[in-house]
Amino acid sequence: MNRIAEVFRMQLRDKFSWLLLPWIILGSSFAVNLLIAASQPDTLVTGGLTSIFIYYFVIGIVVPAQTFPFALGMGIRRIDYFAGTSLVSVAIGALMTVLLLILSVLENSWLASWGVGLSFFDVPFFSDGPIAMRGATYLALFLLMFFSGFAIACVYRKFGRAGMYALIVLGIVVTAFTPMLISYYDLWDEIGRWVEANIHSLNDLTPWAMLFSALLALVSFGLLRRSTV
Amino acid sequence: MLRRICFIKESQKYPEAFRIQDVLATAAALFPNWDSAFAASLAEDFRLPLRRRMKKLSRGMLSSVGIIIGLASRAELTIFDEPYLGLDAVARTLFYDRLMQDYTEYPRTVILSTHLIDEVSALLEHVLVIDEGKLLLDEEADALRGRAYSVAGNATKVDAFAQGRQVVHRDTFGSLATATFMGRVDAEIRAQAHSRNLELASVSLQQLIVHLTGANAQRKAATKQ
Repeated sequence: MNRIAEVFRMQLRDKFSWLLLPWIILGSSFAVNLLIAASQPDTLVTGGLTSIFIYYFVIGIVVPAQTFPFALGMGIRRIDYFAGTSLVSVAIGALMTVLLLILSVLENSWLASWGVGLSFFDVPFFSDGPIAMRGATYLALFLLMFFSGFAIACVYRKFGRAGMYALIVLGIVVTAFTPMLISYYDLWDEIGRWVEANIHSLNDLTPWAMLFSALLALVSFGLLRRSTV
Repeated sequence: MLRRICFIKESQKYPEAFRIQDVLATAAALFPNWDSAFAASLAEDFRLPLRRRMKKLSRGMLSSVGIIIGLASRAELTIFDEPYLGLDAVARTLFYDRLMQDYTEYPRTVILSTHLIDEVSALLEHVLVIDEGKLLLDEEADALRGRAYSVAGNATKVDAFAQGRQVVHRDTFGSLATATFMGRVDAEIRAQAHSRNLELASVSLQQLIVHLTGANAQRKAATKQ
């Protein structure tokens, strides 16, 4: 347990990447949107909020490259590295979730859409339902993004450049053939009806996000356990 | 178990965003015998800018960070794998000095792999020589130091001395020659060398190893042919 805590502390020594940079990115997106909203009369609903989630995907890719060889060099076991790093991603994801929820509540109440009719933190589809549900959704989405990046980085750690090429080819094949197969079996209508009936807000995807996060975490650990530095 | 071992390798990677002090703080938290005061004094000796990020360090500075971790961790088993890439002779000497000093105060097992044999030969207790993956030598350093000797002087006299002895290496310089022989120097050898007016000298560890591996390479070439 102690070692996991040490990994946790080691990750957070890079405060800039974990605590500052995501808000700088989100903040610059917000600033641009605020300018646009102020310069025109209509209300503006934007997707700028996604930038912070995308950043969490990026940090998932960056973290193993930066800290895994160092941690192993310092005699940390792979399982402790994985557990400690995962805990950091959950903790920082939770922190960001709370801050985003506070901002969305503020935006909707006494900040009055920033006085310029801007919906940045409280946007339809993204921010629906009771606050606890939204929190779970944000956190699940953060973790999905983080572990997607983390899993990609772990493929690289285990299989190197060849693994990346294989992953890209696999990605191309899947994205090319899935729509083709759907068309071939004439399933678009059915899929459309299913989405219409079942997916009303991002919250409906939360269980899936949790499931895939867990799967990606498992895959990541399986790869990390066998990778050398 | 792992916290009792410290393994410093030449190619050790560090997080780019970390400052030297972040790296040292991490190591301090991970190695139970870590000595912060010692680490600080080493950092001063190596003139390391503690607040500078790892990304901006020179090759020599990176090596110095590794050396500081290896020494200050005081791990029961410390392994240095070519730890001084990019370090100048002054810094390397500093490393040897501090290693010896600290070792006498806190005895522990230190494994040092190196190509600079002469520089470290005074530090060594036990020597392993690995040549192309094969263990060539596994001996106490003291025993090894007496395993070969060389005689130098007039070439014809050296050749006369060499009669009936196996020469592992021979150098000539004008009318002078130096020949290296395996074996211990005994009274008889001493007397023979003295009577021929030849100078008797011990062979440095580096030379001995060069001869050993050189002979090995020749043997290999011969078997190939």
